[in-house]
Amino acid sequence: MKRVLFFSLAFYLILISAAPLPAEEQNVGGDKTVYVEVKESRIRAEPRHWAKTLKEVHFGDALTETGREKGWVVVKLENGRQGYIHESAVTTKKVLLKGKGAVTGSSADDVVLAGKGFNKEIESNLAEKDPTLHYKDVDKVEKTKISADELKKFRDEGKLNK
Amino acid sequence: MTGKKGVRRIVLKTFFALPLLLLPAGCGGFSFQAIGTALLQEVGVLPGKSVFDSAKGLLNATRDLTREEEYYLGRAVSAHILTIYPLYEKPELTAYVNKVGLTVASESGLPETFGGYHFAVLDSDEINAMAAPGGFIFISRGILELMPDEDSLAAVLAHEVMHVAKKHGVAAISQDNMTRTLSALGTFAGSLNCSELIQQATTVFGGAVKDITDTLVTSGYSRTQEREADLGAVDILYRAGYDPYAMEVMLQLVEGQSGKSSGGWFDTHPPASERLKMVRNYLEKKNIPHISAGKDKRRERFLRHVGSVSLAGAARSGRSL
Repeated sequence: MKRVLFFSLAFYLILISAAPLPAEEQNVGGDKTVYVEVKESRIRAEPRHWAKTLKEVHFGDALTETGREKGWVVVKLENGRQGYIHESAVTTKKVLLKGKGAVTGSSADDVVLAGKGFNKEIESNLAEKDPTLHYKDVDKVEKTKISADELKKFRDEGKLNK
Repeated sequence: MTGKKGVRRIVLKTFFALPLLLLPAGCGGFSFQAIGTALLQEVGVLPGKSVFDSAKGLLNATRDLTREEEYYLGRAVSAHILTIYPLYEKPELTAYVNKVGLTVASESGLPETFGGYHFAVLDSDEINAMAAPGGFIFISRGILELMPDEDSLAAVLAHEVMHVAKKHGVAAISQDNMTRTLSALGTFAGSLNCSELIQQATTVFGGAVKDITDTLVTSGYSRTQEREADLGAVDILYRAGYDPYAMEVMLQLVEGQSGKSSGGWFDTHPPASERLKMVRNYLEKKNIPHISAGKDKRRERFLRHVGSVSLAGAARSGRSL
């Protein structure tokens, strides 16, 4: 039994050392790392939804947080500039995208596993099982896009958020 | 954990868990890596919670969905809703409703969802509006025809945004389906068949989707959740620059239809008279002021976009305006 235990642990150590590390950002100078938790979002010049976009970010991107201001996370860009992203778009948990390594050393509560649970594959299976479902119409609903500029114009014309 | 049995348990679980850690994240519905981690945590190889707690954290369908999972749930619920109610496909009107919706959503506690908020009009005479998880919001042609101005539209959309922000749809998943989710994990532990897993996950997913759709279309949310949506909507309207009293106006109009209309909000919401009383108390108690700046301009653009809906609806139902 001891031999089995020895070999299993040796096997474990080899595998763990070979496994790629998760895409984790180290804290630099005390700054925190937050991860984009939505498909796409924008880092803005001011803490307002209609402010100028400085950078587009995507699911899983790591951002350096330098502070928080009334629901907005202050982040540091590569060029040293400061920008804002709404806190509902980010998480302090590591976002692990598919094929980006194992969850080694992390509690299950500390990570967001992309593609786990209910995902595109399950949706396809559900649509195949029930062809009457109107997924094509859902795609149509998602196609309507309003740009930040259009929204700003709409607000200004309607004297909203003045 | 003592003696040979304990050692054997560690060895077996370690052997089960290690290959799972190396697989790509997820064979369909479930993450092998996560389960592997959970198993290793249980036997003490990795620090963390017990396998049951970790698995519950990963697979708890009702309380701990990721934003991405909520999005796929919302898509499925929407696909169901759209089998019952067809889309009213008028691109200009849809864009207008989206602009109002996005304006109020940006003032909610959850302005950003995984796939963003999307608003659509349903071709139905019913007085109705619904919100699926993740930010899919539907409003009927019937309720649009009832509205006098943009602020009333903002009130109804803000109410629906509150249901999304407070995750009321996700909370509608029954305890039974949560249990089924956990039992699916049990089956997984004994079988590594990927296709079987996907079938199981699809069944569990289908059950959760049904629970939410039934709540939206038939049974409705609890009075507490509706109260939260109504009062939260008043706050959103105020923050966005809409007249918060538009919620009162809208509920008065819905109450006026009581007995004349059926289905939709009349089946799934508490009586409008009850909601009206609660909203009035809130406005008075919090001393919330009227906002009139820009209201005429907003009414004008509302009539420009929604006027055609009223005419089309009247022609279809044979009534005169």
